[in-house]
Amino acid sequence: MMQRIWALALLTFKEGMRDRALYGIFLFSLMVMALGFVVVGFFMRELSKVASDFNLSALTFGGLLLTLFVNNQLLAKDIDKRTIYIVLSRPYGRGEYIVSKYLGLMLLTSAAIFMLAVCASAGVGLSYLRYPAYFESFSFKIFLLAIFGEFLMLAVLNAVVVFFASFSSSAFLTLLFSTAVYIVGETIETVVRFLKTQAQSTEVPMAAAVEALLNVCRYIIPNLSVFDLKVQAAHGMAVSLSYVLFITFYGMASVLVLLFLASQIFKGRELG
Amino acid sequence: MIHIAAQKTYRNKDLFRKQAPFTADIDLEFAKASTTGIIGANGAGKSSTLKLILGFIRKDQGSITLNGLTPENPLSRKSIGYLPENPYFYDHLTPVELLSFGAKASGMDKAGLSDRIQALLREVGMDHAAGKKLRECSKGMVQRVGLAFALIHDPEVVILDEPMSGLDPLGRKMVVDLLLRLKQKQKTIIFCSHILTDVERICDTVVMMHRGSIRKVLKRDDLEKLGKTLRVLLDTQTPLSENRWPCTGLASGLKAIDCQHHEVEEVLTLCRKEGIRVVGMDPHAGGLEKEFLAMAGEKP
Repeated sequence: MMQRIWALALLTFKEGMRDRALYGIFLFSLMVMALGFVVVGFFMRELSKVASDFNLSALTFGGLLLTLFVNNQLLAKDIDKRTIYIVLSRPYGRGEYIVSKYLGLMLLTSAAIFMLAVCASAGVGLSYLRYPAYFESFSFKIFLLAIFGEFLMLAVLNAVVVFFASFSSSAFLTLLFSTAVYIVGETIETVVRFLKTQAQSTEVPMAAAVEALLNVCRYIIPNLSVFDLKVQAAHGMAVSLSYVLFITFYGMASVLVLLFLASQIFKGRELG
Repeated sequence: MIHIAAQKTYRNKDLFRKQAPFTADIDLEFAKASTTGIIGANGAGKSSTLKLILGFIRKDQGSITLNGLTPENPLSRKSIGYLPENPYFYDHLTPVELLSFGAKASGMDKAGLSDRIQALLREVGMDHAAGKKLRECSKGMVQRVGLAFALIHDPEVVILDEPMSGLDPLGRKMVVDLLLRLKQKQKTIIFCSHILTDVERICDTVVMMHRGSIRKVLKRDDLEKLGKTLRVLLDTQTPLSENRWPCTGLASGLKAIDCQHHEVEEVLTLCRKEGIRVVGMDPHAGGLEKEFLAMAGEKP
């Protein structure tokens, strides 16, 4: 079984690596990082924060484009063009197919994030060499941890894409649903905090229906903001080991739940 | 070896255009080492039958077994080689990479794999394009690679959906020769085709489908009887006085009589007696094609 899973994961990785859209995403991210190096010079203070923010945002943006467009297309094409027939005519179970595809997408994402991380580190490193006095509070270790956080977020988002692709009939719908999950996942915590603060300060309680809706969203949609360590990286704030372990396990658990659900749904799907 | 007795109803999913649901009702048995051709008009349910066997679509009722296993069990497909209709493979892969995936996915060892891939690509006439990306290959070339993909793991059962589609005459001959070689090797072959002469020539059993159901199953003996039919072309406006051989009007303006080989002499004598000019004889016409047209033309 492992040989089969690995064979399909590698096939997905190869197919993704040769996609021209991937090079476009890389070029775009590299341009943003290069621009970051120039933009840093426009600021009078906190240059390390600007350099770190700019490069991490470019990396996240590149990763999001890869996940939502390239990876999404790789999955959708299998169903649209019926390439899935040649895979499932071999002894692959539907669950095995889902896991293999996810692993392939994660191989692709890992390779892309590694390359983008090298570029982002180079971008920050160049700024550091040019303006060393402004980088006293900057820590490369936390910067790398922030990249790891973004990688975990993309791992969960890839599982979200696989989940929606397991029943959606078009890549566009998967894109729409996954983008919605990303936006809600990144902001739900802030929205809840804001509404609760407002409710306390104005002494007007939050409507029960709104609270229920927020709670449903909080429990169903993965909280992607926990993976965001950009602020810590920008200010050189320490991140505890327990927090890193927590987000790692949280990310892994979310991925497992999403893949399990995707496999169950995909088992009943008609591929006619 | 493969048994299918299943019903499948396709319901209209379009919100605005209502269509009656289409039901496929299939009851077939494919014996080991047999060669079965499934023929039928477009939408007859040929591909659906194959998809049910392979588990791509789920039956509503009935049972399907492959060597005693249901299609839901992935191991049921371990010894199956499948070529879909108008196959589409991963764009950026080369034939060698694709075949290598097929072999690994079927649990084949790496030892000797490279030689097997080269030999198979040579067999389907694609050795010259082994390193070419599939997106740069023509439809016929992709079809040939698809055949190699179906056969890479030397499967016991070969299921081919329109294997001659998109192929040039040389390609078509290659497929026929390949099928005959597989037949010699005692493989179980199931294929759908619209090229009836090939089906008639290769198959032990021909299954005729129409509007989702099996209308006729012809065995080798039946096919041989059909093969003995001869079409006599006549230049006349009036039919023969003898109504044992009804005349069919052709688009060319000629009339045709389908008769058995042993009746030819009798037909020719009758034509001479009635002053009807015989302009030709066609040994291939009639046969399975006639049988198929009669089946497809009948009212449901």
